[in-house]
Amino acid sequence: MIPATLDPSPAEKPPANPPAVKGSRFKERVKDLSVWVIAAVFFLPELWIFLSAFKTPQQILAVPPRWIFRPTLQGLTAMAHEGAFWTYVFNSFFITFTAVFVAVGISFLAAYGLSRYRFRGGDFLMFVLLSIRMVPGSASVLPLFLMYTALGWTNTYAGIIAFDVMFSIPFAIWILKGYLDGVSPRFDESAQVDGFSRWRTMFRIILPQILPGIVAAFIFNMIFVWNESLFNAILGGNTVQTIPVALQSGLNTINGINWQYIASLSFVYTVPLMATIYFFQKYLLVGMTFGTVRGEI
Amino acid sequence: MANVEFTNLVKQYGATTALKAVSGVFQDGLVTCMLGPSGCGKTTLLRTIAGLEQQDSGTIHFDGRAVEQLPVSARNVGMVFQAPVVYRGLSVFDNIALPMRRAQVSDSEIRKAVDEVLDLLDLGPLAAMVADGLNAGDRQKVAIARAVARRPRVLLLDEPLTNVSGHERAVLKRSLKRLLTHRRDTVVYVTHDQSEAMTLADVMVVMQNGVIMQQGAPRDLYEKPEDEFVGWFLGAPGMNFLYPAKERAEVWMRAEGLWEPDLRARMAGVRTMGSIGFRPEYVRVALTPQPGWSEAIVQHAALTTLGQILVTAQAGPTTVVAKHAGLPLLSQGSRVWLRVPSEHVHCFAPDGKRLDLDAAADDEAEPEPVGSRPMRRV
Repeated sequence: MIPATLDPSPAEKPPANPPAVKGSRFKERVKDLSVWVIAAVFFLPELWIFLSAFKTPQQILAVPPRWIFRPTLQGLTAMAHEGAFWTYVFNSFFITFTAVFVAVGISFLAAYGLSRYRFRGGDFLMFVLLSIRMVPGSASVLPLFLMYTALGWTNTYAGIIAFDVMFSIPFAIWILKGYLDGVSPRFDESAQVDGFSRWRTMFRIILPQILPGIVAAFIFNMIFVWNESLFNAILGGNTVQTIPVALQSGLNTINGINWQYIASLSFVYTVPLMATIYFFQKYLLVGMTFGTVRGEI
Repeated sequence: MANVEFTNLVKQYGATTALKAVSGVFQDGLVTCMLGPSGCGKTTLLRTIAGLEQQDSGTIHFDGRAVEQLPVSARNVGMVFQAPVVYRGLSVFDNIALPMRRAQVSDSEIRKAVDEVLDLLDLGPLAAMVADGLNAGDRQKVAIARAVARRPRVLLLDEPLTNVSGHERAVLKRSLKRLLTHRRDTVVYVTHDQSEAMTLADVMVVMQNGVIMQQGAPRDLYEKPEDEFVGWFLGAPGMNFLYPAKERAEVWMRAEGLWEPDLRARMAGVRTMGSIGFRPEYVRVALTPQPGWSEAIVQHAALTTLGQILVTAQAGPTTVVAKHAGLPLLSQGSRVWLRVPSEHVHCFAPDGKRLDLDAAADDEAEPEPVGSRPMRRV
């Protein structure tokens, strides 16, 4: 009674696995292996960081690098006992999630407006929106710093979050508008006929239709805000430092570079992002191909 | 459920007028089907009644209460669109229950109402399924169920079968028919599919160019079109038309054999005739010569999906289409003899309105020639 697939024409389905050719299995294995070998070359730096987080300083600097060693939590525990570490972690999480949450919320409202109310110059406005991301950070950081100083916003959470929100919104609007354009206006009309107000229509009916888009916008901007260090270092000063800023300053200690600290912090820094992306990757892939999940109509 | 009455509705989009002062009543408890070519204003009328379009002028009353200024959400109408709208991530049951939950209907009443429509539309087994995965036909059923479950004052359907094809469509049509006959709701159903309209309608409305051409029982519209357009539009194919024209006197003479002698005499009494129409299924076709009948050469004959034979024949300069179940598949060039029974001949005035032959008969009668000029297609 219920078809297992939405494919309207079963005849167009690709044929089942082609008959196995002798020796093809071996070939497949070789292919798979070579993909992994090539990929490994690119991921070596990451592997190096991950392994180093569990090495002693001597092991980290050993030449040639040691791949087999007895892992130690020495670096991580030392870092955890340092008070500033927890501040960085808190700052990173707090700033990232607040900024992205606010940005995606605002962007949803804006994207809905841009998608549903067509007006002269709307497309140009969309382009102008994105242009904010085209200005190199190094060019805008100084004027921003002067503005922030004049307003007294430096060294504050609100100031940093405001910047991150401002920088996240354009891209989030682009992603969400793409999804919203794919949801037929009939959904809005249907909801209105069903008795929903415009506001409820937006949140109860339309929002669930574009959930993958919301997740995609959230993740893309999370990556940006989580990694943002230039503006944070300059506008945030000492009090509102996030992990990437701490990593930068960790490079310049008096006793030379503390590689163990850097490796441990980098490890702690990368894991939350990777975990999030791993769990939501299905949405992320969908998000990168925008149009493909357009609604039914 | 309610009587829907609209008066002098006007709706303009820029330079085009979609509704030209349309008035009418959709009666309580009846299924009204609106038919017409694309762009005739039928969907606009439907959307205006729903409140999705704001009329430029005119009034709409539900049971005597003016609603034309009310927002969509306050009119309590149910509407189903061409493309099935189901709310993603919700089960079939929740999709249907959502509008009632919003209206804070009690859970037990919701369950009762939803179960009833689930049952009528054969959706019961799917109630717990997430609605996004269903086929188009079942999704449309969910949309219909959501629209009717809360008992709106009027149910508006905008080509609900168009996006559903093949077998699913047949199933959906059957379920819809059952639902509509069982509930006796006030239904306005827009379609461009005549057989759909004929199956479902208690009342049929034909629109053209933003005007209602005729409204009435389907049979009446079919057998007694008030307007040339209605005769042409209804039926597959629609009526044959002959256009009397003074300069083509010989045509009148040759086509003469189509009419029975008494009708010929009565037609001759009419001075201003716009056109003469007759349905292909009422053209009598003889394979042997019949005295006085119009002789014609078969140009083309084909089998229709309903098992009838569609014959196009040339009677002098006039092309006549006939449709019958009992005919052999005539070969091109063969001869047939044609006649149309008088009761199935319709005369229309030059403005397209139906002409009553006896009332229109003029004392100073003179025979009007007949010519075939292109049909007035819109």
